Amino acid sequence: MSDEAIVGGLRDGSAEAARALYERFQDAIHRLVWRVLGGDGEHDDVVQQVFENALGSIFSIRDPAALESWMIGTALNTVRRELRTRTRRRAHLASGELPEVACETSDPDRQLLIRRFYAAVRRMRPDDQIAFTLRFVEGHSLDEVALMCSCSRTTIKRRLNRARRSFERQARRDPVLDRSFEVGEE
Amino acid sequence: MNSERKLEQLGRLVADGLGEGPSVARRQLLGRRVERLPIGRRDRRILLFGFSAAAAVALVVALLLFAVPGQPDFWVGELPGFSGTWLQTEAEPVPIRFEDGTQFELQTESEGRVIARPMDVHFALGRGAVRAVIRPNQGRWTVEAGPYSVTALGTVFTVGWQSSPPVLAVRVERGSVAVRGQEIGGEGLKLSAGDELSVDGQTNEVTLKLAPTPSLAGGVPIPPAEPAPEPVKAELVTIKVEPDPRSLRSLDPRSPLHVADREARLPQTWKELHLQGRHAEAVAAALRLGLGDLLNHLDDTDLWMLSSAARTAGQADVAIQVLTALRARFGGTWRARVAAFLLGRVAFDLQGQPDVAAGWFRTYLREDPDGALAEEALGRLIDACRQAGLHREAMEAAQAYLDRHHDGAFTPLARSVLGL
Repeated sequence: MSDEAIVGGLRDGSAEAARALYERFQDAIHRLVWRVLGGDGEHDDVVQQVFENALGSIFSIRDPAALESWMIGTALNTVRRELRTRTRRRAHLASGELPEVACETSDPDRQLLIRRFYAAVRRMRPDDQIAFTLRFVEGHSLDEVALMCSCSRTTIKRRLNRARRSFERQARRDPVLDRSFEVGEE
Repeated sequence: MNSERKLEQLGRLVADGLGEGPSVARRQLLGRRVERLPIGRRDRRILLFGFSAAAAVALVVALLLFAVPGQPDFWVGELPGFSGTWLQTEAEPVPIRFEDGTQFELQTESEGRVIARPMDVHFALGRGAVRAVIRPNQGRWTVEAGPYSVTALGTVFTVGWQSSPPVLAVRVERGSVAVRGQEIGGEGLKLSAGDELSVDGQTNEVTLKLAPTPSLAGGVPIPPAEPAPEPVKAELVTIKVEPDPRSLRSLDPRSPLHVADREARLPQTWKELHLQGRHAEAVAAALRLGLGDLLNHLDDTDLWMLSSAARTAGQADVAIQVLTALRARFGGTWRARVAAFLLGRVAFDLQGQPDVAAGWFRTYLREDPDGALAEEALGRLIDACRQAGLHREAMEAAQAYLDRHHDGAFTPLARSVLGL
């Protein structure tokens, strides 16, 4: 089913179109949310919310051919809201507590590194977390990140600089991160 | 190599280890949920009209359209309800019942949703009010309002919330509650019967009106319980949420009532300082009143608060004295048990004595092996033993941890200690 047909079907209230939308974008959305949030326990709820938001506002899409970028934008907006909610509730978390991360790797050292990595990432502002993970975990270029976040290149550079400084500060206090961070110099 | 390149390299390591998403089975399950989502509505909000016959039909339709199939997590009126679904009322309150007999009542002009996880139920209050009658069990019941949370500890209390401007108000009528939030601090604040708390999120002003005398005997009649399959083993708990928190009795610090109540109970200064986040000053104020006297006369709630102030201020000696007094005077209570855990934290975090910490974590685990902090205590015991050079004990604790928690916060540490 083409993107235009998916949008048309959704506007007619077709469940088949909803299924097609999920099939079409599930890989991209799962991967995006997984990498930005670090495979945490809320992953499924956030992805469901992405599709819920997309289905809820399907009438707002102007160009059905741009469905992919619209879905990415919807996903990032959903993730941003989730991160902002978490920031407001951060005071509830025990200090020093490492985030739960569902890793594919069975290597405990790598698992620990990933948890430390996301513990440091979660200290950043929500927009900075998104830019940082898109750039360095997802491996997008600066221009791609700017496009995905619907921001100027300058804005993304500013967010990345701030995120990098925050990360480096955290890395200096964390032997696991610090060691991994310095590996590149060997 | 510059910072950018190093981060790229680290990011690749993380991405490789993290993978690209959950299992196929999880994705398929989620796909089935997505197919059933409403199209053309931004949020899954179910508008509840009360229970006139016509409205009930509309509600049935709404629930059938939006609900996820399977066993209901709760019942909205006589209809099945599911975790995560937004509920919205207009002119009449609507009851939300749980299997164990616990009941929330979403008040008029209100909006919220239940997030039900095993042994941990949250009610996220978006606006307006919710009233609940809770049957205490092994689970945890929390009302969330904006950035704040109020956790039922076996009690009758009132929570009010408005988001703009952000104002939280809590009034405890029976028992006690734990309130957490940004101005209050991560440690949280324990309120007892008769206490009233108001937090202005705009000015960051926290006002506490203390009861003249601490008492667990609240005067609020307990509403009749809903039919329950099992006899009630503990006291009933009621949470009431007022539509407008400003409708609570005046919490204005300038009001005569407020001043009179504050003066009715001494000492109060250290508490106020603590609530303002001035923990070191709070401890200093308490010490001026005479720590020995306080340790002998404060009730368990206040000792708890004073220990929190001392721990937050980094004053290990004071924290230890207060927590020790708490255990001595209120032995057998849950606070006394948790005090053992906190003594471990003080020894580990503030004093750098992992061997002492290990002893206290063991004490907590012995006194409350299935307690809320058992997993964390066991995890911290691994770390404490490891740092104290107690390798055999660290391995034993690590094995015990992995036996009970396959995917816990300390699983990587436990595996690492065991060389797995």
